[in-house]
Amino acid sequence: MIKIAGKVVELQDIGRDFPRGGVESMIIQKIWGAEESFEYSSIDELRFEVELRKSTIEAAVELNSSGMGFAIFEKSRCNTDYWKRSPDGGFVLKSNVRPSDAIRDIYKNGSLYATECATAIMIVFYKAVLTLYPDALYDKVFSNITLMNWHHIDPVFGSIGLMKNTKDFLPGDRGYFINPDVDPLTPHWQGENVIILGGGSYYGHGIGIKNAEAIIEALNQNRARGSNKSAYMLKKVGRVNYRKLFRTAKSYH
Amino acid sequence: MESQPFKFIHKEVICMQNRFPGAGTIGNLDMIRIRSGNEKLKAYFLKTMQTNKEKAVSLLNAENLSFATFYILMPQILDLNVASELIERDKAAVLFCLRILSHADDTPMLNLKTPENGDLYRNTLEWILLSGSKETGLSDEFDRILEAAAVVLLRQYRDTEVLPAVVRMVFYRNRKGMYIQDLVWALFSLKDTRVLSLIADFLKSRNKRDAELAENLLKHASCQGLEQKGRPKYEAYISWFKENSPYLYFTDETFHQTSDPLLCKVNLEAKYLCRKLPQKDEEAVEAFADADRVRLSSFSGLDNQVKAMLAEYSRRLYLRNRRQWNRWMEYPIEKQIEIASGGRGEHND
Repeated sequence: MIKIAGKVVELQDIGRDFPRGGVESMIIQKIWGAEESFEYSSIDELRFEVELRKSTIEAAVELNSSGMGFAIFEKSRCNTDYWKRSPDGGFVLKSNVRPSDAIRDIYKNGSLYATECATAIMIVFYKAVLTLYPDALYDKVFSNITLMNWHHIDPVFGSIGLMKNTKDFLPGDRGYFINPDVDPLTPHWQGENVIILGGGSYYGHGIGIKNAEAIIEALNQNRARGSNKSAYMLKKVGRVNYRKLFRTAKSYH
Repeated sequence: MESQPFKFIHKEVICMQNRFPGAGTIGNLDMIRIRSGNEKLKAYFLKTMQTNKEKAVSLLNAENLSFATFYILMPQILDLNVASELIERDKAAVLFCLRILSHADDTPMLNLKTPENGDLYRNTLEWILLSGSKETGLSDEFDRILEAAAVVLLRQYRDTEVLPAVVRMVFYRNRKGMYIQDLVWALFSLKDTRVLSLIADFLKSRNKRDAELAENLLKHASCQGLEQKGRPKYEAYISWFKENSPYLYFTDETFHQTSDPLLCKVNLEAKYLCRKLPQKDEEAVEAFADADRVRLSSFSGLDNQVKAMLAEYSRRLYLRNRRQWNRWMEYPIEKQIEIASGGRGEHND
């Protein structure tokens, strides 16, 4: 259900803003059909969320073809023109570079980077916002970026780190596949952080763009010897605080 | 307390001596490394290999050799092609190291075959971890091997004897800003409340990073009340643990999934009934709730805060006066809440 300024809206009322057949239309139908109630102050706020979800999907697809490698945190690597690698394997933005350039570089020079799935998910969200924000605003909002996992997360993206129970898996959400009986020699396969792309597809760094069965199969191949306990997707998502990002964008214009 | 958590305690030394005869004594090669450094050690080993190969091999096979010394000499062991003359412990260690350092393709050339399960494997990993963890920080690769050995011992063998060493390693790595989340995950997956107490020891550390990490991990384990004014945090932990440990169970949440996992929780139903959980996992909690469905029917539907208040009251009354507790438990839930919240004062018989 969608409410704008406190009023329930029907799909046909907002249909003209999101032409049929496009990604936006797929997203709006999912939000409208959700069990949860989604509330917006204006149609502009709803449009912003749909655009950002669309950018998230695009950023995930682009990162998948960027050439960025997979590596455990202990062996992660980055382009040191823009980033400093921290002892725990994260990437810390250098002080003399623009955040917008540093994020773009990951997509441009993907082969210089290698990291785990959680870092990749953060990169996707940073890139998605970069698509919508002007560089000047982006550089101001994200002046101190650390790319690692949910424990070095910009407060603006705090809600992505938290997983909340849900029945509604929306395109652009972060999901998680857990591998409860992982091979102890490959702890990085204990689970896969993914971006939900819609249409039953997910992007998980190191696995690629696959459906749920293929991701579960990839995780199951890294189970402890003799285990028959399958991986599965948690009924939880991490979701961007769209309202906060919308208000930041609006106050800039 | 600055460095005490990083020292081996007497019990651990005894444990190591039982498992590895000769542990606690210092071997010839270790002595050279400690006194003269890594380069002198390598030079001595090379010279001994050239002049008396039998002696060099026996020095490597010494029961009291530490893994750190063995690891430093490993490139020479491989170059000089003596791996096949080593004892099984050393051969298994070579294979494990090559596997972890992603050189598994080299192993067929060495013609070494040791299983990745069974007592030999476990003993080798214990030797790597317990004799090696004193040298944490030797190199990134060395630390990765120690971490992998710890994860296998905890996950595959449910080995509780290595817990103190692994907890120390977590805190050491945290001081250096290194990655700790896989070790934390492996520790909590053991579903053993001793992990919490080993972590809580670091609340007493004078090192700020130790104390902060200990507090953070304990909060993610549902530990409450650490921030009471004028009360040392360790004391607050002991009090919380004493009250709640029989009812604690471990979840499957991890730092890999979320920024705010609840690694273990207090089962309020068990605390309310004053019945210790038979096992420390979520399946046990479900079985427990099923068995007591009737007694818990009113309690389970309550708001969490009310449940916590009732459970705490129930436990206190149970310890103080079993007869009063039995009577209180027979009351309808509304009356239980009224008594517990002090609406009618303390419950009197």
